[in-house]
Amino acid sequence: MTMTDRPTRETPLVTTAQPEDFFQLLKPRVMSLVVFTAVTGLIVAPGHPNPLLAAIAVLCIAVGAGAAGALNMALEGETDALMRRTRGRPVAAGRVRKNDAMAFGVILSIFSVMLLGMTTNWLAGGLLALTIVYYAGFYTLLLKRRTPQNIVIGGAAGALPPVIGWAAVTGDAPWQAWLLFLIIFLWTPPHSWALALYSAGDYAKAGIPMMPVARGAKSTRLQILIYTLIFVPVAIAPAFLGLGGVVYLAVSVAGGLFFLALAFRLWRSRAGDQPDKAEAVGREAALYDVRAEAKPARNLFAFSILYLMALFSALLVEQLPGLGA
Amino acid sequence: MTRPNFITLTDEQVRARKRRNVAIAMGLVGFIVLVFVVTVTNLQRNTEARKAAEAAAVGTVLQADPALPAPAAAPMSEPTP
Repeated sequence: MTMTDRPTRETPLVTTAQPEDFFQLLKPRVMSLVVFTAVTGLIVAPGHPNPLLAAIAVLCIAVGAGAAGALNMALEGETDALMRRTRGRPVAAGRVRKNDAMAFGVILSIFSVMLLGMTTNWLAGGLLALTIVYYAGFYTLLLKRRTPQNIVIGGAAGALPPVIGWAAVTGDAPWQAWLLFLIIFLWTPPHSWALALYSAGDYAKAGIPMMPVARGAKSTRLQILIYTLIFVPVAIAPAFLGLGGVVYLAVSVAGGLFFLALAFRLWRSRAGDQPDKAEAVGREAALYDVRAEAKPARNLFAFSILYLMALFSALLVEQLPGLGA
Repeated sequence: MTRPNFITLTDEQVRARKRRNVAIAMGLVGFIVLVFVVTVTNLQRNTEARKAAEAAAVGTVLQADPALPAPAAAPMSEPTP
């Protein structure tokens, strides 16, 4: 192999990055889930926030979450370049320089936290700051490469948005807000490990000790089932604790049983035992184009997103007049 | 004296820089507008809350027995929800 054959990603002296590349740094898909759960916390919380200030608060939470994503991409550019799902990201693909992504993330973090604090209260601003530091600092720099429990502990960052939304309205974070946190926190392991089961090769190549890489596919399938057995009752709990009503009960029980069935089927399958489908390159292909034996994992991954959206949608729907909990 | 070694930008680099500059300008203007809107809205809410608190305090004083001590001062504003 000659010097010219070696793939290099030298930092260009002058960037040709477009505004769209910087928008991609914000992880718009993750941001949409963050916005959705934060809006739910904000609307379910008791009180009537000023609609304009509530909209600005949601924007701040979205930008703050996006800033955390930008910092993550800046810090993980070289690792992302090794994985099929992430190699098209702006830093990994060399369209945005690492330092530019870092500066972008830091500036947006400061602006979003300051504006949220000014708009609502400093508990909400502080929780947003904690989310950013936890995700970009604690999870990306420390946890991700050190323990197979990375996404279990790191999942707290993704679970905080409804608490931030709630705190933005009431100025405090009662147990109901933390119940919403717990739902997302317990949802994260089965969701992430289902994906990891058919992306283990990529994670191994990138040196990330995801559960299937560190403990093997069989152990991961068992842990997914155990987490699902804990998660589903917690997901149903709001219906019995005054946070959700009949609609929520129906959605959480029906979806929960299906979630359990998928987890059980995955536990009995051989998903993850074979190497990944190497030819599935690109984000969508890496997520959904899988080998036949890995389909139970893909199905659980896809349904987990739908179930979480359905749970929070049910909470929102019940805020409509006549459907209250 | 050595002359600085300037880089000549390609057309693509100039176009990209221009688009980034426009995006940064729009972002900054948006941020300024948001801060202005938040400030005005919070001022308005606090003024209304103060008026309501003062009106409530006046009503309390008018209804109170003159022999009793004056009520405690009303809060400056309602607690922020």
